[in-house]
Parts: sequence; C-alpha cells; structure tokens
Amino acid sequence: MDNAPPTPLFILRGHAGEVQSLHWSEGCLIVEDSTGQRKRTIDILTGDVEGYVVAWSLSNLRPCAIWKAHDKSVIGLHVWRDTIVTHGRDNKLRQWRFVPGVLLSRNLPIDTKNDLPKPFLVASLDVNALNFCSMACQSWRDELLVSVPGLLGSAYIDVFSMPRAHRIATRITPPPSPAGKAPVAEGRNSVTALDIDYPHLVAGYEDGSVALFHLDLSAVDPTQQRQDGIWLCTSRWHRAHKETVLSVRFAIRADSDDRPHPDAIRGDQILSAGIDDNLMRFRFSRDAGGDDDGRFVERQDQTATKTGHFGQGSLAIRQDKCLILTAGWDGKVRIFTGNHLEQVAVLKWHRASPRR
Amino acid sequence: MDDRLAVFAEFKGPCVALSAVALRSPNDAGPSLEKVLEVAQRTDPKRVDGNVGNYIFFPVKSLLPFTVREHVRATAFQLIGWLVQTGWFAAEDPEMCHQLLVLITSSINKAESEALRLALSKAALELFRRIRSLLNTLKSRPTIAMLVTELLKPGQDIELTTAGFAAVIELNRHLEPEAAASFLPGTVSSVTAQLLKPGVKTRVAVTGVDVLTSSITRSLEGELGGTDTYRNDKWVATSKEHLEKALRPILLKLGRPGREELNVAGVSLVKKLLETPLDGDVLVEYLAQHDPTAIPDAQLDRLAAVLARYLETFEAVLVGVDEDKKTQLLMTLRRSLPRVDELSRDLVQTQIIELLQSTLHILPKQSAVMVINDDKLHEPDFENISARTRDEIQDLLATCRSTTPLPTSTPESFWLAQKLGQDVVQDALGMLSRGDGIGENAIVAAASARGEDFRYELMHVLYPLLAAERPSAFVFAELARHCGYANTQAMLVDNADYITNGLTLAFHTLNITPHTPRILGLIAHMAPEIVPMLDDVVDVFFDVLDNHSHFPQLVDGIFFGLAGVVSAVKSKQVPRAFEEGMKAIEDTSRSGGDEAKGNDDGEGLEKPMDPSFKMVLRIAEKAQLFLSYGDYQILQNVMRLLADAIPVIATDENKYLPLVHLYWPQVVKRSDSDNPFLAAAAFGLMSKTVDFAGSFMRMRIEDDVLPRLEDVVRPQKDKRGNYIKRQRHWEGAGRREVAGAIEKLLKSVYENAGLRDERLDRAVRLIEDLAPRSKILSRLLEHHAAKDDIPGE
Repeated sequence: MDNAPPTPLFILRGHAGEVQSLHWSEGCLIVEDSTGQRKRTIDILTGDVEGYVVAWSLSNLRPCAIWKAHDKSVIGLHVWRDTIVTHGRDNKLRQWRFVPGVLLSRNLPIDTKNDLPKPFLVASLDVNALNFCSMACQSWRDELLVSVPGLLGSAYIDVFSMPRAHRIATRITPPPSPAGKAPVAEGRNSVTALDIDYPHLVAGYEDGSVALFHLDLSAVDPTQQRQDGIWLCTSRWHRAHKETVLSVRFAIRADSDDRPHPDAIRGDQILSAGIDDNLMRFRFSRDAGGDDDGRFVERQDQTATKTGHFGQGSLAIRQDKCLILTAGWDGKVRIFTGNHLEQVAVLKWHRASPRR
Repeated sequence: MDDRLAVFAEFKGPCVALSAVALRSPNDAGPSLEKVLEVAQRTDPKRVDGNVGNYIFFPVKSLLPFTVREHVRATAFQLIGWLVQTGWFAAEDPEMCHQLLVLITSSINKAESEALRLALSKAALELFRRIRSLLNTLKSRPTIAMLVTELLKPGQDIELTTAGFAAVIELNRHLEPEAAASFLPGTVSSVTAQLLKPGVKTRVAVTGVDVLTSSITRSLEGELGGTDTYRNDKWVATSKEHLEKALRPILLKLGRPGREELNVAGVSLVKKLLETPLDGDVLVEYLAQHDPTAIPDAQLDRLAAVLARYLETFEAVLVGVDEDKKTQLLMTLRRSLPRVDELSRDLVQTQIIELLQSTLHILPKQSAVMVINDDKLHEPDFENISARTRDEIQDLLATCRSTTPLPTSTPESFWLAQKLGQDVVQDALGMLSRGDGIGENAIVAAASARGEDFRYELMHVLYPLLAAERPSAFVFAELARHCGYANTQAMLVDNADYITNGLTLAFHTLNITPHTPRILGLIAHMAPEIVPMLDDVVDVFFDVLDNHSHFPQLVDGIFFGLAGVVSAVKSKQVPRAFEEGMKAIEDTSRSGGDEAKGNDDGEGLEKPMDPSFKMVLRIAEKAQLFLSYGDYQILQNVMRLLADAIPVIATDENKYLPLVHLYWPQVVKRSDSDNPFLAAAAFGLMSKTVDFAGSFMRMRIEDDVLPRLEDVVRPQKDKRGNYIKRQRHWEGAGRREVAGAIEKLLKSVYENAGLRDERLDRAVRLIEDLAPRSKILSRLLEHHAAKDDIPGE
C-alpha cells in the first residue's frame, strides 16, 4: 500500500496573500457571471491576509466573485441564507449580499491596485478582532447569532444578532479562577476560540482553559437593542491545555441518529486543539448545566489524546462525525477517527499553516 | 375534308413514284420509299384516315415479300409501323391483325439484318399498342409466342435489343394474366440470359428488368391456383421456385456496388415483386441492401431474420479479403437497423458490438510513436480491415446505441466506445501515452459533439495533451475551434490556470517527462499575467532540482521552463527597468564613478517586493548554483536565464549587486571554457551584468574581464604556429558567437563601466584591435577619437 500523502485534486490559485479563512457555502449562494446571463453557484469562500474574499465555484474551479471585504486580513467567513458574513482583523463584522445587476470582478490575479465592485453591504458593526479569534455563527429564529470576543475586553464574549446588528448578550465570561488553582497570568485570559450551538456556547482561552456556557435568549426581543440575553457558565475545564487553545468545536449527536457509525463520535462532546500537542475531548450533557441543578462546575474530566504534533491551529469535524481534521503549524492536515482519535491520514501540501 | 385532301396531296406524288418503281423493280424502290417515309414522319398520324392509309399501303405491300432486299423491306416496315399508328386499318379487324402479326413474325424470324429486325420490332410495338385487348382473342397465340421469342433475342445493337424489350413490355401490358403466364418461362429465361451476360449495357439491363417486372407481375396477377386454369397450384409452386432461382443471380448482379442505375432498377423490380405472391428472403435482402425503407411492414420479420443471418457470417466476412463484401455487409446492417423493431434492434446492436469487440485488432505501429499530422488525425489501423471498411464500421456504430457503457479495457474497446458516442474523455486521457492518436481523436470527437459545453472538460484534457510526447497543433486548433475560441493561444491563455495546476501536480508526483517542464515556459510566455500565481509551481521545480539534479535532461527542461517565467516577467518590466538602469548608469558616469546612485537613494526605501520580481530573484538565485554544472547546454541555458533576469532584478540594486557577487566567479571561470559557445554565453552574461551594475564592476573588469579579452583578441601562437590559450575561441563553429559576445562586452565596458585613465585606455586598445572586424566597435572608436579631440574631455 502506498503510504505517500494523497495529492490534491486541484489547487485554487488566486490570492496574492496568505489565505486566512475558508468556508464551504454548500451551494446556497448564487451569483451572476460577468455577462449577467448565467448564474453560478458558489461552493467555497476564502479570505486572505489583505482583506480580499474570493468566492469559488467548484464546477469550473474558478472565482465567481472577488471583492475587498476588509482593510486587514479576513479571519472568519460564514454563509447564512443568501448572505455572507465576514470577520476582519480591522475589527469589523460585515454582512454582504449578492444583488442582481452588480457584476463583481472575477479576474485573477486580484487587481489590488483598483477598487473592485463589492456586493451589497447589508450590515456592518464594530467587533473585537485583536486576538485573532474568529467569530462563531449559528442560525437562530430569523436571525444569525454571531459570537465574537467582547468589545469591552478580550476576556469577554459578545453575542450579536445579524442582520439587525443587535448585541443580545454581552460580557459573557467564566467565573474567576478557583482557589487553589494557579492564578491566570495577566493578559492570558483572552478568548482565542469560539463555537456556538445554541443554547450552548464554548470558548477556548489563552491560558488553555475551555468554558461551556448556556445561553437563554427566550426573553430577547430582536427588535430592541437591550442586551437582555441570559447566559450561564455551566462548566469549565481549567487549564485543560497546557498552552493556548486555538480551536474548539461542538460535536453534538443528532436526535435522529439512532445508529451512529462505529467510528463516529459518541454522545455530546466538545473537541479542542491548541498550541500543545493534545487533542482534547470534553463530554457534556445537552439537557443539564454543569451539575444536576444547573450550577457552575469546575471539571477536570477531559480526555487528552497526544498527537505528537504541536500547534494544531484549526479543527474541523466531518458532518457524520466519523472524522476529525486538524490543521497544524507544520502545514499538514491530520485526519483522526471520531471515536478513538486514531490518526488515519496526513495531507501534506501547504507551506504555511492551514486554517479552517 | 380539306385536311384530308391536303394530306393526300402531300403523299400523292411520292406514292405515285413509289408505285411505279415498286411494280417494276421492287429492289430499287428504296429512294422512293424513303421519300414516302420522310413525308410520313413529317405528318401527324392522326391526320391520316383509312383511305389515305390504303393509298400509301398499296405500293408498300409490293415491297414486303422475302425476295425484296432487306434494306428496302426495313424501310417498308418502318412505314408500316407508322401506318399502324394512323389507324389505317380497323383495330377490331382480327383478320388484319392476325395477318400483320404473322407477317411481322415470319419476317423477323427470317430477317438477317439488324435494321430490318429493328424496324420489325418497332412495328410490333406499334401493332401491340394498336390492337391491345384484341391480342387476347386472337387464335394466333403460338405466333405471338414465336414473336416474343424473336423480340427477346439479343442483338448487336442496343437499340434493337431495347426495342424488342419495349415491344414485349407493351405486349405484357395488354395480355391477360393467363396468356402472360404461358409466356413467362421463356421470357424469364431469355431476359436472364441477357442480363447475366458479361458486360451487359446498363440500358439493356434496365429495360430487361422492366421486361421481367412486367412479365412476372402480369403472370401472377389476379386469382391464382385452382385446378382448371393454366395457373393452377402446381404452376404457381413451380413458377415461384423457378423464379426465385432465376432472380437470385439477377439481383446479385443488379446489386453490385457502384452501379447506381442498376441498383435502382433492382429496387423497383423487387418492390413490384413483393406486391405479388412471390416471397422469399432474397427479395427482402436486396431491399435491405439498397433501400430498407421500401421494405413493406409485413416483411419486417423477414428483415430481422436476414440481419440475423448476416451476423452469422459477420466475423468470417470481416476477417476475409473481400472488401466489397465487408462494406456491403456493414452498410446493409447500418441501413436496415432502424427498420427492425426495438427488441430486435437491441439484440442486433448488442451482437454487432460483441462481434466487433472480438474481431477488431488494432495493429501495432511501425514506430514507437506515431506522428499526428497537423492536417488530419489518424485513425488506428486494424488487422484485415481497410480504411474504407473502418469508416463503414464507424458509420454503423454511429447508428448503434449501447445501453450499457462499454468497458474500455483495450484500445479496441476504447475505439468502439468512442465511436458509439460514449463519453470516453477520461479514458482517452489514459490513451494519450500510446502515441497512436486514438486518445486525441476521441477528445476532438467529443469536443466536436459537445461544442462550447466542452470548455468544462478543458480543465482535465489540456494539460495531458500538452504533456504528451508529441503534442499536435492540429488537436489544439480543433479543440479551440469546437470550444468557440478564436485560436489556440486564446484557449491556452484562458485555461492557463488548469494547465498550471496539472503541471504542479505532475511535478509533485514526479509524473513527468523531459518535455513536461517546458510547459511552464510555454504558459508563462503566453499568459504572463499568471506568473505571480506560479510561486508554488516554481517551488516544486526547485524541489525537483534539489533532489534530481543528476538528470541533465530534466534539469535542462526545468531551466527552459524557468527561463520562460523570467522572460515573461522581463517582457512586462523590461522597458521601464532598462530605461531606469540606463539612467542610473549615465548618472554614475556623470558623477565620476561613484557607486550607483540608486544605492544612496534606496536606503530606507524598502518596499514590499512585487511577487513577479520576488519569483525572478528566487529563480536567479537558484539558477546561479547550477553555474558549476557539468553539462554545457545547461550551463548556457542558465547563463542566458541569468542574463534575462538581470534587467528585472536590477530594478532593486540591494538585491541585484549581492547576486552579482554570487555568480560572478563562476561566470569568469566559464569564460575560460574551451567550448566557444559557453564562453560566448559567459561573455554575454558579463556584458549584461556590466550594463546594469555600472561602475560597481570597475574592479572586476580590470581584474577579470580585460585580461581575458586581451588573451582572446591578441594572437598567441605556439612554436608550431597553432593558436593557444583562449585564441582557440576564434576557431571552429562558435567563432561568430564569441565575436558577437566580445563586441557587446567591449561596448558595455566602454559605455557603462565608468572606466577612466589607464583602464579605459586598455579597453580602447582592445577595441582598436577588433574595430576592423566590427562596425559597432569601429563607430565606438570614432566616437572615442572625437571625444579626445574636444578640449576638456
């Protein structure tokens, strides 16, 4: 059997700078081509260090739209209905929509010298992007919940609803470190990774901790800017990682999934990766908080799997939860089984660290 | 009445003259008879009544006895033929009809000359037309039978034969079926004999077919069978059997390829025969071969049986030597397939494909690689099958539709799948390495079928086609045309990203040939705007260079590709860079030999590097490492690449001058080479370096350049009178290259190096030595002399 890393099927070339973020649009976005006659489905969105976003079609492996979404690098991308949400290092969160009649550039290499036409800007708001933590998004009612590091400090988390751009929950943060634990070094309590699966929100911190929050937005009036979302930190795994957490992901079992695959992740879990060489797994219950009465619990019941590779900057879970992918600073993507976290493949191509 | 008198007046004179001669000397009546005939042919027969007819017939009848010479009688029977048309005798007069029939029959029986026979045949035709149904009531059926036999006798003259045939056709038209049936065996026998005669004329054959058609259809008309009639059951059965036997060779002859008129006559015959109780596969088979659309629906079952029988002989015919048989078999299958019902069609198609799979064998090529001409694509050669048959197979497959995709495990099955219209583009890519054009052919065929929709496939096919051992310009031109591009270049430019991707992946997996790296140069040359995106490709090239530098052919190819990238960047930047470079050098000269001015200005102005510039710099830095390579060709290519890269890199002196430090020692060493081409390339690179580095090169010029040039330019011979040292460069094939390079180098040194005093004098002395050989240097010398004359210079 050939043990050589598999070769890519195609390399999408076009960005002048490093690609910082990528998102699969799953075919729900359609844009007109240059003639305005034919429509193209966008399959992948990529954002680069210079703030350009390129929407790619996998049918012809070429861009359908290119525009400069931010003045600095794009650290987060998300597709919600017919809009695209971008999170930039210029501390902006922007929501875009392709509208008929606006023909976007699709010429490569990207013309960085001239202003390219942009899609319709649905909303724009100021957020915190100082600590490189990318937003986490989820659809909620008719809105999109976007959680980002808080404006009042990188240790906090804010939750916005888009496109109204209302902040519906703010200053989300775990309780102070418990007595007996080593104090958190000053400046090491920044949020570095986020994921949301309403009503759950998980955050990874610079000191290696992972905290799980329970959101209650039932009292929120989306028409009002009142920040009346209720949140509760239900669990915290203090210093679960020895170093900064770089990525956290929910792996929640679907209700309809009665017979999961043997390799699939069992139960409801949170997975995290960080600068250290551990791949962490945290079990939690969707139905309750930290303990039976829903109060905050400090926990140390995480399971660590040593990968032997430091700097796993990004983490992704396949939809069937059978495979987990990590992207390392060594430029390699490693694939693990969901159940036992056994490494099954390594993809080697990139020279710099890949990102999700 | 007036008209009758007028006609009579016209005939009166010639008839009187004829009467006089005919009674006196019938054998001399020819001229008079011809005059009467001449008047008759001018006159409309309808204007002539019975009396006038009798008046004309009276002298003519004296000329009919056998004692009269035949040519006179021939004219007389011509006149009688005309008279019959006039209605000169009552058509209801059976006695007269009988007498005329006997006269014609006995005359034709004894006639010796063809002219007489012809006149009699025509007279018989007119007589049959005149008396029509009376023919059936005449007692003289044996006479008619004898006349038919005489009429069907072959003649030397086509006119005579066809006239006889025409008379018989006319006779059949009026005979009752019973009577016609009695003449049928003789008619068929006589006509068959004539039709099967070698070299039978087409007109005779076509008229003969008409005789057969009229005889057979008339004989088999109406109610058949019974016991009391002539056409009883026995007769019917015997006739059918005999007819089928007789028809088989006739149809075989009529169906010969390339005889369109006969084929059509045959189709007409068979169509008529199929309306009679005659049946038989032979008729359906003939129609299947020539006009399957004419097969009646009731006979379609028989058609399916015919096709099944064809398939039984399919393999034997296809491996045989009879090309006509092969093409006829294939053509019949192709034409008939649409006529059979769906179920039968599916079965036949499947069987055809299976048989072809087992029968076709692609012949190995004479040479390992077959060159695809630019004017046409080559189809493969098959064992036992000519190009004509192959084309027929192709046409047959175009009408077949395989419901299940054919596995393309062999070239034969691939060819079949392609001709069946299956999507074999992906499989075709695997066939490209065979070098026999099948893969290319399939790709072009697919592009032709899909038109502009094939553009989506270009991402998969362009790179493999380019990477093929012998890429065909014709294939690319055809693809461009079918995909709606203006030309090949437009197509390649539009799809440069796909090609680049293929190239990268090929290098990454080392799935490469010596030809592969050149594609990079090609792409960079045609679409220079893509160069900034090629950084990872160049990285892959470098990796391969690092790991496989001991393969000279590969290294050469890689440098060819990289040179293409450098050249593309240079073509975009060189005008600006060159002017700037020249300006900087001029400034240096004016400032009295200071370091390049850009050096001072450049301090603190560090700008982010343009990706193209960065790439060229990396290529140059990598390439200079190969200046110590052993292969002369690669060394020359590397030096040319560096020379190309200098104008681009020189735009940033902080990058350029350190690079000069790196490569200069090796270049100097290479200028001492015994190979004049290598030395010339080294001098060329030195010249370019001096052009763009200016006074930075003064010390190096003094230490490295001038001594070497002096060695080359000034003759040094050994004791035997042979040139020694670098003077060898003036010998052999490379001397012009060396001379040109030295000329450029001296010009660069004089103009751009900012030399002064003794150093300049040294250079000028060299220029003086070479000036007689070079116009450029002589002009330079003149310029120098003029400068010396100006006070203060």
